[in-house]
Amino acid sequence: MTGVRVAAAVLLLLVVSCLASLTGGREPGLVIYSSVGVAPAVVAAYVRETGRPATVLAMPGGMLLARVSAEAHHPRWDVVWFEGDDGAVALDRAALLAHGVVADLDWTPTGRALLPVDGSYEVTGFTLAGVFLSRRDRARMPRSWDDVMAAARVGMANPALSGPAYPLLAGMMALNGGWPAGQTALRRMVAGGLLVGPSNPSVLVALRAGRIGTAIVQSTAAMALARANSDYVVDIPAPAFILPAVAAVAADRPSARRQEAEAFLRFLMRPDIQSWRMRLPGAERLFWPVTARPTQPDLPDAGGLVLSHPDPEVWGPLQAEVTGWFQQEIMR
Amino acid sequence: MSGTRRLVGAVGSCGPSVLFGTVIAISFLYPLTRFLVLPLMPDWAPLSGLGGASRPGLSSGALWNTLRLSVEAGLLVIPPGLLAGFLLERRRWRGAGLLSAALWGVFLMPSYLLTMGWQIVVAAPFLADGAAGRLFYGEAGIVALLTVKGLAFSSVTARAGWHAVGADMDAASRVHVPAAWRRAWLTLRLLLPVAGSMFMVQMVAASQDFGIAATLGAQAHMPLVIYAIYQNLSTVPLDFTQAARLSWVLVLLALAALAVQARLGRRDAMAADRLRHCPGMVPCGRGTAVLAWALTVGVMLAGVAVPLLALAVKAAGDTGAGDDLLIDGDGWRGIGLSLRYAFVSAVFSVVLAALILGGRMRAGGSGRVVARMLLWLTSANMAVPGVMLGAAYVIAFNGRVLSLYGTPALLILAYTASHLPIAIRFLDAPFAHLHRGLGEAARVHGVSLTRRVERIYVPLLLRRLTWAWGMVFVTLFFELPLSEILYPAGSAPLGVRLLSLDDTLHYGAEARLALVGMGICLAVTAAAIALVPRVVAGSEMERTQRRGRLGNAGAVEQENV
Repeated sequence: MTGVRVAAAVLLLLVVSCLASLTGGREPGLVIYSSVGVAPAVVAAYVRETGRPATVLAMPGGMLLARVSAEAHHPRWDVVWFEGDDGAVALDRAALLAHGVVADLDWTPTGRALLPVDGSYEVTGFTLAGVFLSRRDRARMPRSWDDVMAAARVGMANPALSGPAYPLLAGMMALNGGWPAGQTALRRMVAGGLLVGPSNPSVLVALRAGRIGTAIVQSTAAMALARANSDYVVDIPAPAFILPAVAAVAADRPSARRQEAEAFLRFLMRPDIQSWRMRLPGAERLFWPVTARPTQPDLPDAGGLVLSHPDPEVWGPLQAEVTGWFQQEIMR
Repeated sequence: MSGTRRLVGAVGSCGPSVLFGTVIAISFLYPLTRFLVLPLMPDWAPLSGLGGASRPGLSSGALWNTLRLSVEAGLLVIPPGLLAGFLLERRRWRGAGLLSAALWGVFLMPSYLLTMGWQIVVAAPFLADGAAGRLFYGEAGIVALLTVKGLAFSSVTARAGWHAVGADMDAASRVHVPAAWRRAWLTLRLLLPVAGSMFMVQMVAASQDFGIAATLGAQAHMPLVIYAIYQNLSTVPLDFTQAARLSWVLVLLALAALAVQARLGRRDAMAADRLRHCPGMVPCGRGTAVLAWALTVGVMLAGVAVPLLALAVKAAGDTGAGDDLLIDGDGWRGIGLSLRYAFVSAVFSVVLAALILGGRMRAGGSGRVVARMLLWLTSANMAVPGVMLGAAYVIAFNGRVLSLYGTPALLILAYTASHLPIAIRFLDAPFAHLHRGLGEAARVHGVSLTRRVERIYVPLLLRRLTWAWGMVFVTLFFELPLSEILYPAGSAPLGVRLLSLDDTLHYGAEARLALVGMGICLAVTAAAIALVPRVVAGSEMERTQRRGRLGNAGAVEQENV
């Protein structure tokens, strides 16, 4: 055999083995698209316990919704788990979510109020879409929405990229007359030097660098930073906008996969798994549960907060229009 | 064995046209056509649950920014590009090798890593709040990086131009034009088509550069068309039709530039035909030497050393984001996936390119026509940026037929299709220089196609084929836009992993992963380029020598008989 033939045979062997390992390797099993930071750890625990394969695809919330929309009725996912029920309602309106996935659990009153009538998604807990995180040395710290909207050098995340930012924007709009009347308040903030970062962490970086004085960010990120560094202080405004984390199952998947997906949702809501999530290191443990058990030991009682929940049935279908306007006018 | 030979013979005689036609139709024509007709047929867009109604018109800000920045980068690249070409083609000096190496380094450095390196530098407290920070996070920074990135390709064009302005012209102008400034002016006028060509190529490259637009452009809040297309495909609100409209702008810009370049190239070739003698290499004068070293050091620092050093410092230091100084499992997995994806796709690209270019050499007229058509089609594909091809693939391969979206097969197909033109461009000249008579003579003497490939074509082209593979491999290893749009669930290649670390501000982990990835990629490429031709050629030589010895022994035996 000549050198060329040997080389060709070796090359062929390498190509075939690469192709085999790329295409026929580990079966992805249950595919979960998630923007929730703790998802990889939870999925790993699920795989450990059940022995069944599962793959998590972590991405920012805006990107997740776009990818799910692009895949449309030929989904590659079985479960989506992200923050913001407006997005879930929009996906449900496009008939992408399976109905009747909500299990009968010991829901708290807040939790029960957050559940959709058609059972198209399950609420796995909630955080607050926007709390005020300021440097302690700031001369005048904003305490209310009126303060923050009039203040200079405020930062928030871009709702086109960051999942939690749209419910925050919707809440701010709702406080100022809804859509499109609320545009005026946002324009006022732009005039005051509103900084829009691609994500909550990038807004925090701007705060630490001193480019802004106050960040309106998700409660998890704000509380984690304030607990780690006493130079920063968190103010929970009244009202504070509820940001539910939601999990849903793909409508257009075979029934066996749907059953597996629903089993994952049941796993996610088990009290021991929720307790375990509350003990994990990092900001992700700082969520309020929506079931009576377990209780969150590390956060103020939700009953003592003034909470508001912009109606996802109103704001969900408006998401494309509102975010498009934000991209066009505020990001310019 | 005879069956294989018959199969190869059959494929050799008529198969390629059908095979390549099918490949081109599936990988280019069908997806791109389906995507680009969306402005006319919006119903062909996939269901956009969060898309709402498509916004009419084009984003004027992004269009104006893209046009302005591309033109600026196109103009800025001409002086250093011409100087680099002049120094490498017309002057003998000790730093020529270093300048070549620096330009290769710039060519191979992914633009998002180049940007990231400079972002780390500019983040230094004494720069961040000053004029340097403001300039970097603005038009000046983007144009500067685009210019540095474009210098590698522009200098290749410039070298060809300086080569074409031959020694005869130099001698004639020295005799007939006494004033030195007028001689310089004449030379510059002769180089005008080359400068035009450089401008066009750089303008297209700058308008399609995703890495800089997605990092610096996005952070500087400077919308650019290429990133606007990506945003329309991957963020809320989703708008495939608007992405297709914006894509038309880039395609038309690129096609116009390619047409102008082709016209300038013809003028250039006509000028070169008239010139007989290649220019000689003259030693550098003192002034030129200073200029040469300044350019070399500048390119080396701006395009390679500073970004790499910044990455290395960041990789070794405390990141403040809770990273440890190791690469995590996802990082290693990304490197492993990129190695395999890039290896397979680079092999496919080079083999397809070789088969297409080989078809051009065939005796039959029809094969040559088809090969030329395929060549033209794949060259036209250079006008298609990766983001656009990715968008086209999402639409084309996410239905009931050819349901490949989200599979490794589609990513390999996309990688292969997007890099086939590069492989063709690289191998075009070596194939054109092959004397057709070699193969013809062997064919007339009854040597089969397999034997001809094995004994004639592969030994002659092996080194170039390996280099082409290496070049495609390196660019695919760090590929970003296609990977971002098409990567299968749970299998994020290196580029996606790096950008994800960048988004979550884990700069230290990103820098470490990038550096380790670069090291592994360059080691694999260097090993392949150094070893493959040597091993194959060594084995061939050994075989020939053995046959020679056997032949001699046979001759001696015959004499004895």
